[in-house]
Amino acid sequence: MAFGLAVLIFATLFAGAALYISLVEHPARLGLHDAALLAQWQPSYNRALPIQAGLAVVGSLAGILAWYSLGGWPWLIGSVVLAANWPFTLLGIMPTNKRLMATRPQDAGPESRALLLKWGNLHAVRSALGTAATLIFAAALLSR
Amino acid sequence: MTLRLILNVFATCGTGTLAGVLLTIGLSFGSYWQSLPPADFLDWFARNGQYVGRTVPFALLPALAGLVGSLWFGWSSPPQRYLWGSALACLAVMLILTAIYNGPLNT
Repeated sequence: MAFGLAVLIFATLFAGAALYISLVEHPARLGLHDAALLAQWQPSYNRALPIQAGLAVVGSLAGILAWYSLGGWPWLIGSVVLAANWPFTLLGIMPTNKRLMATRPQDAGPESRALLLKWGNLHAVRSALGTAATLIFAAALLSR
Repeated sequence: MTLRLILNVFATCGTGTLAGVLLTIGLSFGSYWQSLPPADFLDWFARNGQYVGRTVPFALLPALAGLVGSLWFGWSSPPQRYLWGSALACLAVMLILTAIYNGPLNT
C-alpha cells in the first residue's frame, strides 16, 4: 500500500500545483494591466514549467511501476492520463506559450491579454488531467 | 475498502494537494510578490486574497480529517503512529505559523 500512496502523492502534488494556478494565480493576475500581466506571467511560467513537467514524468513512471508490481489497470490508466500532460502541452499549449514569450511586456496589449485568456483555458485542461489522474489512482488504491 | 484506507487516501490527497499549492507559491508565484513594492503587494493581496482563502480549505480540510483519522486507526502500530503523527505535527506547525505570523501580516 505504501507504494500506491507514493504514486498518489506525486499525482496530488501535480494536481495541487496546477489547480492553484487555475483557481488562484491566473484569475488574480488577469486583474493586472496588460504590461504587468505579461511581465508577471513570463517568469512565473518559466519557474512553474520544470515543477509541473517533472511531477508529471515522475508520477507517470511511478504509476507504471505500481501497475507492474501491484497489478490493476487503473494504475496504468492513471499514468497515461497524467503523462498526457506532456503531449497536450507540446501540441496544444506550446504555440500560445511561444507567442507570449516572444512578446515584450512593453508591447503588451489586447492581443497578449487575449492570448493569456486562451492560455488560462488551456491550462485548465492540465488541471483537469491532474485531478483525473489523482482520482483514478485513489480509486485504484481504494479498490485493493 | 475500509474506513482506515479511505482516511489514508484522504490524508495523502489532502496533504499532497496542499504541498503542490505551497510549492507553486514558493517557487513560482512568491517571486512575483517579492518583486512588488510593499504597498503594491498589500494592495494586490487585499484585492486577490479571497482566491487563496476559498481554495486552500479544499485541500486543508481533507488533509486534517484524513491525518487525524489515520493516526487514530494506526495508533496501535508504532511505525504508523510515528509517520501519521509526524505528518499531522508538520501540518499543525504550518497552521500555527500561519495563524501567528502570516495571518496577521496578511491583514
